[in-house]
Amino acid sequence: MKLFSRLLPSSFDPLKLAALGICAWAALLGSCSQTPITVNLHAMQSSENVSFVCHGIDNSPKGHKLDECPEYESATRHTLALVTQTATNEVAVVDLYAQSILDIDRTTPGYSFLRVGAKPGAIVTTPGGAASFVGVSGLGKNGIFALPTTCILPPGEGEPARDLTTWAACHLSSAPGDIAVLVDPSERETCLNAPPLRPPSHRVDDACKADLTAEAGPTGRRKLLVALPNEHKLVLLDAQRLLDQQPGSFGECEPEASFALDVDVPNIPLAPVIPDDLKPKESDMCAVTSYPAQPVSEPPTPGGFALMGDRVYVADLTRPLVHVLDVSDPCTDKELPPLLPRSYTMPDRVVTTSRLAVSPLSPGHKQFVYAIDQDDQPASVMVFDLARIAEHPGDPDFRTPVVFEGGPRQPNMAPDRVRFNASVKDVSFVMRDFPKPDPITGAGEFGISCEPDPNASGPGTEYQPNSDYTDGARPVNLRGLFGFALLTSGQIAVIDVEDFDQACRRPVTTNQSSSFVDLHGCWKDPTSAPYILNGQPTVTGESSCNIIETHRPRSASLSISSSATGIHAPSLRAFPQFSTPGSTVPLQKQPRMMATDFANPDGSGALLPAEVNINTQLYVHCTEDQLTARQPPCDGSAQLLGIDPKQDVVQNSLTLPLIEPRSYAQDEAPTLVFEGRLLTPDRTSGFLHFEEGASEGVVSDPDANFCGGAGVEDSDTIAERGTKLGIPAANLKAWSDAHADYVQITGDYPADDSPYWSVGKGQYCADPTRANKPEVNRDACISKFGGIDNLSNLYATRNLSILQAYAGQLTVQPRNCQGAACADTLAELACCFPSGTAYTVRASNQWVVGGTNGLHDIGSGANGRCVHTATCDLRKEHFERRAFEICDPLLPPETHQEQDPAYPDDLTKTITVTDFTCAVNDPNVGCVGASPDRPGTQNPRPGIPVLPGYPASPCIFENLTSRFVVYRGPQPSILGMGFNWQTSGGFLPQAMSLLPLSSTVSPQSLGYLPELGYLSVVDASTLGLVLFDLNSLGVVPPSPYY
Amino acid sequence: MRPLSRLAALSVLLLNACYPPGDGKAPPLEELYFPTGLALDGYSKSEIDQGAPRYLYLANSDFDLQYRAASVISYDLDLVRKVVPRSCNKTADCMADGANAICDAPGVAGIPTDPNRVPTYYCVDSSDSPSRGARTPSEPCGAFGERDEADLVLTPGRCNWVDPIDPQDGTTGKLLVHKVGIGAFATDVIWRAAPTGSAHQSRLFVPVRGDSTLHWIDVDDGVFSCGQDNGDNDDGCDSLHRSGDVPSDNLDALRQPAEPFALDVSPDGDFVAITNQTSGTVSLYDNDWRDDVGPKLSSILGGLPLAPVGIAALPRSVLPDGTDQDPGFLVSYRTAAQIDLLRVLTDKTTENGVGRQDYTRHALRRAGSIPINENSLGFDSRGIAIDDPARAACEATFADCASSGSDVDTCKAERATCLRAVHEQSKVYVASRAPASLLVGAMTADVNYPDGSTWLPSFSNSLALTFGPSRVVMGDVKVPGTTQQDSAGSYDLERRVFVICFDSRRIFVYDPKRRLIEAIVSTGRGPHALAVDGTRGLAYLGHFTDSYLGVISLDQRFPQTYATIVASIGAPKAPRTSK
Repeated sequence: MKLFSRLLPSSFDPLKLAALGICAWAALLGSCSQTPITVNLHAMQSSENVSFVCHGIDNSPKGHKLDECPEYESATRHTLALVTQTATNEVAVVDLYAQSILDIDRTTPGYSFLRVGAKPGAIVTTPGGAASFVGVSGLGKNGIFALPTTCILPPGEGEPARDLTTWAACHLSSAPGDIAVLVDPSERETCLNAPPLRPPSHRVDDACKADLTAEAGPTGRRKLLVALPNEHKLVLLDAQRLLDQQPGSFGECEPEASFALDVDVPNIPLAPVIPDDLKPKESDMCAVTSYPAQPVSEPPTPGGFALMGDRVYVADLTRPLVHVLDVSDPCTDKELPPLLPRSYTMPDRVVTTSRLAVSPLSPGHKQFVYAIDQDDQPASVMVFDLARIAEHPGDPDFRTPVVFEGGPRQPNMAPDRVRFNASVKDVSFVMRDFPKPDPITGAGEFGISCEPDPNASGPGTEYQPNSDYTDGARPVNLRGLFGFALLTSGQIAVIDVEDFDQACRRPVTTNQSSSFVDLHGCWKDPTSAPYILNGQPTVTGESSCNIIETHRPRSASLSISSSATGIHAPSLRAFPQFSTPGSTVPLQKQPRMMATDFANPDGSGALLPAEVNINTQLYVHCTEDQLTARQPPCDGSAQLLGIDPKQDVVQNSLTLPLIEPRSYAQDEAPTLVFEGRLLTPDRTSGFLHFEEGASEGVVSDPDANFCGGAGVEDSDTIAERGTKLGIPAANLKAWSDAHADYVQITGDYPADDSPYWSVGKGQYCADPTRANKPEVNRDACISKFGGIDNLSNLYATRNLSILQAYAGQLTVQPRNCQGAACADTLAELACCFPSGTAYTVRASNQWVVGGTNGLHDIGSGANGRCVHTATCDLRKEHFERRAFEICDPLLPPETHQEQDPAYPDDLTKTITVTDFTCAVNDPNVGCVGASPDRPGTQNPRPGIPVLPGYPASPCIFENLTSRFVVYRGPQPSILGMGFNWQTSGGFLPQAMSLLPLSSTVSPQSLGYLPELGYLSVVDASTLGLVLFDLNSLGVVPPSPYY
Repeated sequence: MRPLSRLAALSVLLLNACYPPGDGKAPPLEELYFPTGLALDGYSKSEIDQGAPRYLYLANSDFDLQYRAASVISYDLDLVRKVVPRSCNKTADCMADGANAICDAPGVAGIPTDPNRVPTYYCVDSSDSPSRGARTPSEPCGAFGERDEADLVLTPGRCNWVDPIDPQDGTTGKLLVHKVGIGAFATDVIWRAAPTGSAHQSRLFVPVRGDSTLHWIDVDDGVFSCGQDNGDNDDGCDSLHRSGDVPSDNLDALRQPAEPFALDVSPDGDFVAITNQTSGTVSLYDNDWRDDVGPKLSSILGGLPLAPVGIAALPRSVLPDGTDQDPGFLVSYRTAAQIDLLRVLTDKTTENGVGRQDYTRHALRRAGSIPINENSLGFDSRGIAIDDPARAACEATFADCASSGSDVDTCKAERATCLRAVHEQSKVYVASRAPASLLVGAMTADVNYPDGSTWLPSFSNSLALTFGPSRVVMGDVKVPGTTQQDSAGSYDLERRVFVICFDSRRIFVYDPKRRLIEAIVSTGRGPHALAVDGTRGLAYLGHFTDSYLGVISLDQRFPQTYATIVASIGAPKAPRTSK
């Protein structure tokens, strides 16, 4: 105590301390009492799979079909969920009607469930609900447990406790995989060709009865098809025979049949069925995508099952195929030609599958298998079109995954995959409808498609959207066939397969042509009249005809921008804003970014007006004639959009292509920057190597991915662009050199006190050739290459032109150097910036779109050299991010004054040097805005604004998400000048999520309970069983059950 | 001095006292004391089990600062094998234990038929004449005795612990081979074979938090050499064998940041990278194999997210021109949902003969990064492991070639040819705590990269675990098969991924071929370090909390004991605060 008092200040008063302490203690107590701690106890642990069963109060051994549950009036039948617990080797029981988890043994603390002999895996229930079967695995404990529905509730009074001896079970020779319940219509007790079986045992204890022979559902004997992955086969067991085992026994299972899954795999190259929009136009020059033969060496390993009718589809964990079994007679081995998983983007990869789903046959007579490509990164979904396969039964090419149309405009999707940002864990199909009564007959019919034709009548018109989108076709209306993908991240994505309302989810305008797609992605419409009736649209009026696409994620919102719906179609937040890193540039001297009209896709040569939404307001470029004619959209309903840069009052602008909504991420803030960065952020892992005395060096950075990642274009690569822009061959070399990308060193020097300057080579940086001359050379470096106080205005001496670009290295030369100075500058650079200083790569004499998908078509070609690839890879057809500016030849040349080198000592003697002339022979030119010397043209058109078909039209920039022209200003563009804008209304995929319930989830399996219209998700981490209502796409309370 | 100043001075003194450089009680070097690292010696081979490693190295951490230092100790695994019961299904499995050995399994002649007796499935002596050293049907744990059932809750394993200094059976010699003192708070240990022609067989690298250094210890036949005999330093490594604490060691005057945690070593052993928890940095050491030089700190990469806690060296790959790709490491973080690729880059610029090469020969740079989208949260990644059997086979072939006396350049050329033929991407496994999961993936294939890979992983699955995953370790288990033979019959070796869950006392065994969690090992408190001895079908598990070594059976031919703790080395000791 004495010691502590000596540590305290002398002014300290112990009484005050006591009073303070009492107050603090009281405050603490008070705060404790106001902070109740809620502890969520978890009954379930490591849940994995679920099966649903209908249980009746009659406890009938015949069970009840799921569609008999629940019975609401007297609550005599409840729907139960059986959820496997892999951590405790149990099966949990959830009463969905009573909304509670059942404690099977109330005599022990905590929750007890149905105990099984080892780690439970697959669980299935017979069609009539009389029994469920659980596969269990563990060394020496592999087998199947049979859970009669009569015994899955807590034991009644006088009944024995539920434990391992409650269940009939049998031992398998290896761990079981997936299980399916098949129905043998012949009702044989055993298969005709079955091996000799033990005589049927007779249960001594018949407390838990299950009579599958009398259960409801399809007529026939219940058989269990069980995968044995380690033995590379399937076996068939009689379900009733298993149930008849003495409870508590664990005798050997007696398969009646065994299927080896040894179907022949076509050991020949296959060709994917490629849609037209992916077929190269220059087919002679491009290698045709094909899947090489994949000799099968691995034995088959059955994975997940998908059962539909008399077909079972079996995933294979090791072979690149999906087995197709005809189980109309479950006892016989009828393996049909398999489905053939392959990868369009990586044809050499051996694609194997984990889980599957097969859709019901839709009203449109379509049926699909979804298979998870387990090694894709991330794991994705392949689609197999069963109808297409049926049409071409002998052609294995049609048994490969469907390659979708529209790939060139969906940069984030592989053309033959449904892929998300996390792996797909499970898939399922749902087909549902809520028919509206026919106004005439009063009857509702399943599967009626929405009819948009204003002149039509009939039940299909009942599904047209109403004016406020609260009824009829809309995103939340899941009417039709849909896929669901459970992602490891906790999302459940909705995939459009056959939306009955698709015809009514589109723009009002139509396009009857079958030869071209209009600006909204529409074609082949049955009528030319707009979908309007009595001034009201009969369709949603969305921005694109591609808002719904088969096997693509469903949109969560209507693609419309209006005050009523909000901004959900691609729209600008405001007109683009200009900025410059230097001193302010007067508007009249600024470069301008302008929208321009569209060429009519019908090929007529006519123009369609540029139009764009700024928030909810439509802006349209209308000519005088169009305004006079008052044809939509130039009928006064829209604001006028100016596109002539010479008019000062006109704002900078652009248009947003509307063909494919999926091109757009949700909200973006793109930029257009002169000599913008191609590498973001700066890299610090590049080393500059050079041979002494050489004028060229190499920037080596093995992980930079200069081709596929940054899209670097050296002088050779960019020359292709020059040709397309019309640069004469004689000028092409100079033009390419002026436009090749360059490296800009953005890093600092070693610190002042670094030994590099005192004992390292840094002491000689000012003159590397004079190694023995001691100098303080950091200052010399700063003098030559400047500091990094202002990153937007670095010295030009830090720039290195790229002569050759490879995947991991760049051959460079100091930019704009001449002769021996190149070698000197290179040596100085290497000396001043040792050991991988920061750098970036910039485009030269051109504008770069950034802040959005930095898409380009550069790839790694022969010897790793960066080359254009879009010619043969049409997925990149619309990838672009470089814009070349259009100059006005009527403006005077750009010049500057400098001292005449002939008079070095005469400071007053200057000469005028021309920097730029708007002519095709100027190496810095992009496009010339007019052709005043065009033969036969007496009064040439000014050429500005540039419109499709004009001489400068190759410089009209268009990619997936923007279309504009950049006009060079009277004042030259400088590095860092830019335009920036914001877009909203991008594609938002429809999804349900577990994350609002818990941030740490590990979803395991997905299922559909059609009787209740619920989608079920089992989570191993915190949530247990979660149910989603497909009407609201929300969680069904009180789930989750954990 | 004013009282408040005194208080401040006392606080500073107390803070500094957390890492006493030389004061305090001398540690019992041979004792297991909060073990944090285990490593097997791949150079010295067993005299009994063909191809098996002979020595196990264990790093203690002195976590509760009871002592002024910690230690590294080595065990003779041939002797350890003698005290670990041999698993069996039938008597024929017990041939290695002598003619009298029978299997303690139901129905075996000589085994008591008492229905209440629980068989061990261990090989025992059929004579059933209990004597010191013998395991008999009546005493299947022999002189070690059986554990009390109540103790099994905290320390699983039927048999009582084995004293590594003086095994209780009286017949087995001292398991401990050697010991040496190191600084407090060692976090791990890694072993690497030395190149041909080196003065020693191999070298251990131990990051030590207490004095923020990298200890390095040369090893020959389980015996340590780190200057411990160079004066009065408690048999501890001398200052030469502590790297990173002397700025004058390198021209950049670098000093190892505080809290070094995880480390890994490049395939050739030339570079050691260590993550530093609190500063968001990774240190690079340039390892010189000469025994009077050792690893020197050559670069510190900053600007990383805080708490880098997992690191794994990339396997060697070759570029199209036949040269080796620069060495690299993957790093995972507790605070960021991302994996970073760090490259060791070398300044190859032609010299003028002036000190540039001495300045910065090698630099660690962040060469790439990839977000973890696979999980709902994704951050709080812990251990990371890279598995590439094909490339490892090329390295093994090279090692055989080099050790056979062949021309090294020829061996390197053969290795390059071997590596060029590898097209499969390396597998990557990450233990994550948010949620508790094992991320399964592979390096991303990309034809735009010179060697066909981004060397950044993409994940294709997330497997649910119980809470507290910490480390990921690769290893082999024995499964019934035909390719190999031992006294219990034929077997195959199969690859497994072991995920240690510190908090929930579990080790998950993931089968990458069948893509499932194959088994869960229930452990004692604080499972932390694991070394898998596939050739013996065993794994050694360092229990951090109770300071002992568990031995796990990894032989699937004996399902009753597979993935269970079958022996314990050292007496379990609860930490002082939990007694």
